[in-house]
Amino acid sequence: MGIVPTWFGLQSTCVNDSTGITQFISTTPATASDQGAAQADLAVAADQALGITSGIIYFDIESYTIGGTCSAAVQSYVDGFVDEVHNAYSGYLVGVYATPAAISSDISSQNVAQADAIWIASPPTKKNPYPQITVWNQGLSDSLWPNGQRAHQFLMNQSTTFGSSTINIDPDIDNAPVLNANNGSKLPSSYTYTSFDYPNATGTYAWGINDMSSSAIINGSGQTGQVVGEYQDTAGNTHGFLLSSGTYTSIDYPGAVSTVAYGINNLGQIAGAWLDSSSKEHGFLLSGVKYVPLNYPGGSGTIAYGINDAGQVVGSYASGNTLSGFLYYQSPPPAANFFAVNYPGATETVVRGINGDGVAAGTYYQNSGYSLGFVEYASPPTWNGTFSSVGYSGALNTLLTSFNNNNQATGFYDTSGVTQGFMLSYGIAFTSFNYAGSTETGATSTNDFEQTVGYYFDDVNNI
Amino acid sequence: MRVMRVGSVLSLLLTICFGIAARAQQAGRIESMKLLTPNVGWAATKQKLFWTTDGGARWSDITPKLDHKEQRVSSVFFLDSSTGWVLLSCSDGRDPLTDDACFEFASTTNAGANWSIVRPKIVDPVPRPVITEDGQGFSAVTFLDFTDPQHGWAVLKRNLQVGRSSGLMLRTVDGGKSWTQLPRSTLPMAEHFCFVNAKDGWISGGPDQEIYSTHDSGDSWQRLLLAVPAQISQDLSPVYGLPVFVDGRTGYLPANYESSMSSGAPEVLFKTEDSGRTWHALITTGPLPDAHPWAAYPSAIVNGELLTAAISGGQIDLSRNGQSAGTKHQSTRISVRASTVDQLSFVSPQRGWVLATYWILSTDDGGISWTNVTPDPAGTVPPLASSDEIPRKRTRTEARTLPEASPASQPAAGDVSTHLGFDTWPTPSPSAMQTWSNSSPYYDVYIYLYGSPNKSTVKSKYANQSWLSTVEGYGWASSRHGSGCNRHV
Repeated sequence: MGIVPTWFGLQSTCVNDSTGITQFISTTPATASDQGAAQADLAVAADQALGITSGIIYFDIESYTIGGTCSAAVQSYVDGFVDEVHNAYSGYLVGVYATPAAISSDISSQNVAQADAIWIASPPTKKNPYPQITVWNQGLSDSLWPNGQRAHQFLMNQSTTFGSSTINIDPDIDNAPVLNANNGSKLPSSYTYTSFDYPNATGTYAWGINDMSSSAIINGSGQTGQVVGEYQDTAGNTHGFLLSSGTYTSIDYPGAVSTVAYGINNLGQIAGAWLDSSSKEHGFLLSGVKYVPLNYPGGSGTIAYGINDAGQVVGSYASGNTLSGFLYYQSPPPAANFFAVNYPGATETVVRGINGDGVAAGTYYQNSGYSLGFVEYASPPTWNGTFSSVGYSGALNTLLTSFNNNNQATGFYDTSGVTQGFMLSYGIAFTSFNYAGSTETGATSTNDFEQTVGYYFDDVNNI
Repeated sequence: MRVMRVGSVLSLLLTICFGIAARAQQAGRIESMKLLTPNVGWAATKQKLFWTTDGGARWSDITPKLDHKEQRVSSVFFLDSSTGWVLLSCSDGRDPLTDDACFEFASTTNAGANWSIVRPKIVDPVPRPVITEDGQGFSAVTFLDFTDPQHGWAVLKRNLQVGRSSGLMLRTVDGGKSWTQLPRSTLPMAEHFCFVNAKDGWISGGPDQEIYSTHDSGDSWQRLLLAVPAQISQDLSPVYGLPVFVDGRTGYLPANYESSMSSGAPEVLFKTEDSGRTWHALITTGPLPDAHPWAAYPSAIVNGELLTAAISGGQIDLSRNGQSAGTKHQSTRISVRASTVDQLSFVSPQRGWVLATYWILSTDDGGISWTNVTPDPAGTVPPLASSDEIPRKRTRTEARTLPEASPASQPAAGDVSTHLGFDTWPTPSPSAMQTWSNSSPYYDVYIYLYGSPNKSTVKSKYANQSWLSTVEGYGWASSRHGSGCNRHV
């Protein structure tokens, strides 16, 4: 767990909210540049006064009216600040906090020394009212600062309670340098199981969970995320469902013989699959009340399993008798792009989950017929990535089914006839799940709060 | 006549060897060393600890005061060029069957100018005087590691027959003032280990050459199983080194696939990009002809490259193997009659030391030339003030006229977090940080620096050193010492 030193420095004279701001950036560029360098010296000195002698410092540029002298002043100030850190302080990195518009227009300008990282201030807006817990797709090009160089402040001013301590916070998702990122871990020591069933269903499977309690991010006080899955009715038909704040809603693709909802993001968008009357599988993305059909071009069947807050969908498609994974990315609109994902050398690949940083997880099959899990670190714009293989020690088969923003995966493994769920966290730590009295337990998804859903036989679900 | 000539050459050689041996003995054989920065480093014999601030030209004796002539400098660990610990074994002539679990920990925060020494009570879990298969008491072999000024571990190895390895792990969370003895059963073996943070560590070696990992500060260990790379004969078994992490996610683990059938052994570098969860073979070298059978090949990892060294024909062969083709540098002839390279310590691709037999050799040019910088006790000087660690401010560079390169697209250096974080004002209380450490999903806390011009001038609302060290104890780490497996090279 890391500390992130932050400097609240001089602000633009064109700042949108000048409450409490008393010291401003000069509108004379040469002076602004010198001010930036002087602020960098002060920030590093303040860091060193804490005993920190290297690593990153972020400095804050509050929202301002972009253009003309306002932009010129900020550009010079940032240039002076970044240059001074780079030239005068070996071992230090520097990051800039600013709005996407300021980053696009001024911070990334060719005339400005380039910071090592950006911290994007992009809370929900009227137009886009849900928090997006991702560093991508934040109103600036994903090709800027793409390599572990982005943090995103996705909400502001949230009074948040854990344990008995309330802190008023601006939550951030990091894919960026901090001090000692890898220090410590938060593996819970025990789990509690909660069983639930779709009313009157003969079987219920939970496939996905998000971080939202209906419309607000869950705050830790007994709330659970929204869950999607499938249930079988008494007539034997399969339907998708959404469970939100204790209320079930059935999900049925228009005209489908059966429907399954596999994944849900924090915007409430649902990824899933439906079967037509000729038993062909199709993927779908349910956004509000609108179904977007997802059919891999040329594929003979498509299933959409996972979706992240950037709207990236992963799944599998059939081509002949072979399954391959895919990533679907609706950016920039209106172009819809499918990218095939195939684990090198594997006979088949299925992608099950994707987190906000585009890290995907799934399962691949070897020539032997046995399966292993994988994690793929993919990056824009091609979303080609590097793969890591995951095998539960001693298992015949390992399947990965989800991957959250904290780099935790869920999955199943089986050892000669016994199937159990697991969570794989951070290091090499596998936590095995086995619902008491069940013959089989599968873990299908975990959210950022380690709320995990799955199923067990005899046949319900657990969180 | 001919015999005579050979004889005189031999006797000349013997004289030279004896001369060097006598000096080496005077200094004591160098058992271990570490270059901490380009100029600061230490070297230890069984009875002395030496310190240099000029790359080895001059050494000072900073050995903690020893109470008994039998006392030994058993392990040394320095976090940076001021803070370090020495584990002293104190077999002080008493009956080993009744009192041999005697170890002392010396700690310094000023590069050895002052030491505080504690002697924790260590309970040997093996009942004595019964001698069991776990052997008789402890040996002087110990291992020591710290990840920050507070969190440290020590492993004490038992006196055992060859082919067995067991011992005790001790842990401190207060910088070595007090040590907790972990249950005997938790430690799989008593070998070299390192921690990358307060919870995650690895231990490697033992009679079966295994590697284990822990994610709970050493309370429990799990064996790490890595697939033999396809290029390697599947019947070879590896000797693992310890991982080295260059940031929060990316780490490297060397493995040497030894064979009784051939004199060399292929070297493999495993890489992780997910904090050690999964590893994949990054590079595989061919057999290294000078590899020592049955011993982990001395290696260092610099900038993601595996550095290995061996001596042949009076020269040091330094091999580098990265993702591209490897290179091999043969040095100019070295000035000492070393026969093996036992340890490597590099702070950059150019700058490093090797421990070669009795000697410390130093290079500034990536291994082309080597200078003998072995401490000579006759030439040591009184302790010098350290250090060169605080970045010095330079005058600002001239304003640039050329346009910058296109927006940054190089990977960020440093520790990349992919977790949830939060920023808040004013700085939360330590007790809130403790509660949140255990119960919130947040990993990173953004704190404001005192002196920020558009923030409050009330100093008590900001984090200070005491706040930082308190919350570090709860897992919110700020220090960036190159320590344990977390070496920022």
